[in-house]
Amino acid sequence: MKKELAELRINGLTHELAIEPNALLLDVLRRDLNLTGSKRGCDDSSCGSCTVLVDGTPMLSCTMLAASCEGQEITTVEGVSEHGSLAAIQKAYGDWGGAQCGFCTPGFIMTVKHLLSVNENPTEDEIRAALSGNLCRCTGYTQMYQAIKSAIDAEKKGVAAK
Amino acid sequence: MTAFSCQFLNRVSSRAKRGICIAWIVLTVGTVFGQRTFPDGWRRITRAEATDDWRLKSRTRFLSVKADFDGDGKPDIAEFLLNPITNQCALFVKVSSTAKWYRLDEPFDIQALDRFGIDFVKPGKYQTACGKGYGDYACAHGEPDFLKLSNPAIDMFYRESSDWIYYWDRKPGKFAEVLMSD
Repeated sequence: MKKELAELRINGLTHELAIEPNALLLDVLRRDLNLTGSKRGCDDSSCGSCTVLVDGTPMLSCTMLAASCEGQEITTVEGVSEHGSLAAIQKAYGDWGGAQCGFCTPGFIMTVKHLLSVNENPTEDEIRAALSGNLCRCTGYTQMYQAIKSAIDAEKKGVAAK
Repeated sequence: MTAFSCQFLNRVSSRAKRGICIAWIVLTVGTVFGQRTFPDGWRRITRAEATDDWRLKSRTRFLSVKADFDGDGKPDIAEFLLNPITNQCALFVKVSSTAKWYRLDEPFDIQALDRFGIDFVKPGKYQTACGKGYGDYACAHGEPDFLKLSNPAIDMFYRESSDWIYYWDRKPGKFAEVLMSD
């Protein structure tokens, strides 16, 4: 298929790419930009491994066309860190062993990032509801929830300290 | 002059014939011997069968690791082999002391080879999945919190995902396995 030029804004940077019109966003991220944080998991929209934020909303990059994202701000897990240091949620995942093998982690982190952007102080039920579209094949949802709660606490303390 | 040339050519030709014959014998014996170094029914995976981009980061395509696993001072080898009849792959290891191949894991379909690889683990202290608190499953068989390796070992990984280490356990004199991430 003939490639066409597309301008994608990803993690604050603009990329002009020659992509096939039917190229999936996930493939462009991983293959063309080497942003391999987003994963191809189930490939049927049931696991959330390929979740990225498009204009701040969690979307499945494995089921959307890259070309359809022109003019929108895409954030991948590589764009979550702040000023070169880990974001609170990333640090908490490491501290609490929430990452485990790490395959599903980027999808979870993007969903949590969105959750915290719309609800600074979610309850456990709200956290569980928000993450219901993300599945993990490992055994440790418990550590993840602990990590998320810890990140929320850390954010609160950060806000309080200001 | 013509007679001399003919004689020379005949002599060279017979030498060449002998050379070809010797080369053929060496090649045949070498090939047969080479095939016999693998377990029955298994063969080496070719580069054409492992072409994924991520494999290019390794000289061995993440298909084999050579090191002194059992600490006897001689090199041992771990390698993914393919059974062309069942189209399955499995990780085998051959230690120099026994010169026999042992299968370390259950065979898997060749289609899954695009995700599996092995890599060298240098001696040192590593936190296991159990030590990281990755749930009861990771500690189900009395796994230690830390793995202390005095010899090199083999890291088998599922790309971008979990990994586990096969290391030589001196007491029973065989390889043991421990999850590093589940």
